[in-house]
Amino acid sequence: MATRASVVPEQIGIPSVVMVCKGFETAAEFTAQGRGTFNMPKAVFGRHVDTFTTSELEEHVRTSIVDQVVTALTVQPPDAKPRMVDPDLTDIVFSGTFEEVNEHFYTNEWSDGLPIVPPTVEKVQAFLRFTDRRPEEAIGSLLPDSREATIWSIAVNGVMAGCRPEHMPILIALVEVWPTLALACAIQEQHPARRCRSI
Amino acid sequence: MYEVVWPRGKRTVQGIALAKRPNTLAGKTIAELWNGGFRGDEIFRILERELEKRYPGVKFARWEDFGRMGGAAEDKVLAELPLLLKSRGVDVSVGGVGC
Repeated sequence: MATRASVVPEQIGIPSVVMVCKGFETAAEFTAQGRGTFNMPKAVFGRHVDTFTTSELEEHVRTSIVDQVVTALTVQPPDAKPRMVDPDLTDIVFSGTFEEVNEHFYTNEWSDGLPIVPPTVEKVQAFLRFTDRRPEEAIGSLLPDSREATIWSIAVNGVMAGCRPEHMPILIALVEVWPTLALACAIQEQHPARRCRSI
Repeated sequence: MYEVVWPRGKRTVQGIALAKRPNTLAGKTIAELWNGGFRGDEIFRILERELEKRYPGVKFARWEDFGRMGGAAEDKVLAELPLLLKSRGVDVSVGGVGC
């Protein structure tokens, strides 16, 4: 919520900074990037604010947060670009063992750290056999990162999650309704690690 | 060995350049955008006191003026925010608290 609101001033030319607790910087970055702000300035509390006593909070704001806020609002950050060029849907982005694939996906924030089934082209194609829709068809744009959900990417994620290929029609249906669910939208943006399932 | 494909889709938003920063906050109006949680009421008051000490003439458009940034009416609140910021003569903005 805080980051979504803080992006609005930037969109109309007003410098802005968002205050976040340590550990939530990545969540803020995802949210800001999904709204087109790739280098949203942040002032980061050293730990969760609820763990400070009143006097500790006062001290921390005075000695750390104020300086971060001032810097964020008076020093021009460099223009940032997306960190990587998006691959094409069918590009092989990594080769490795089961453990190496899992580590690569976790490191790139493509998984939440739970084990995934490596999404090979063969496994994805098995899912695509259960739909008549074109793999490149985009169903919509999903938060927090505002990225296309394509038939292909739904199949890839279905593979990763351990679904069976015949689950594909259900997966497509879920993604079709997902952006219309207020709850889902809130959950998607609050934290990348938070998940919601609905059948 | 597994050869794997990318699990994400292409971005649907273009990047925007960040707004031009002023050299100083002296004489500026600072908006406080609070999501209603995580001790923002305390934090913004401390910020106000400290920034007033450092920057003569600094003013605040307080979080009470903007309403809660979030909740069930969030879409409406955010849609109305640009006009509110302009009507309050806001120069820079501080949002919080993200947890």
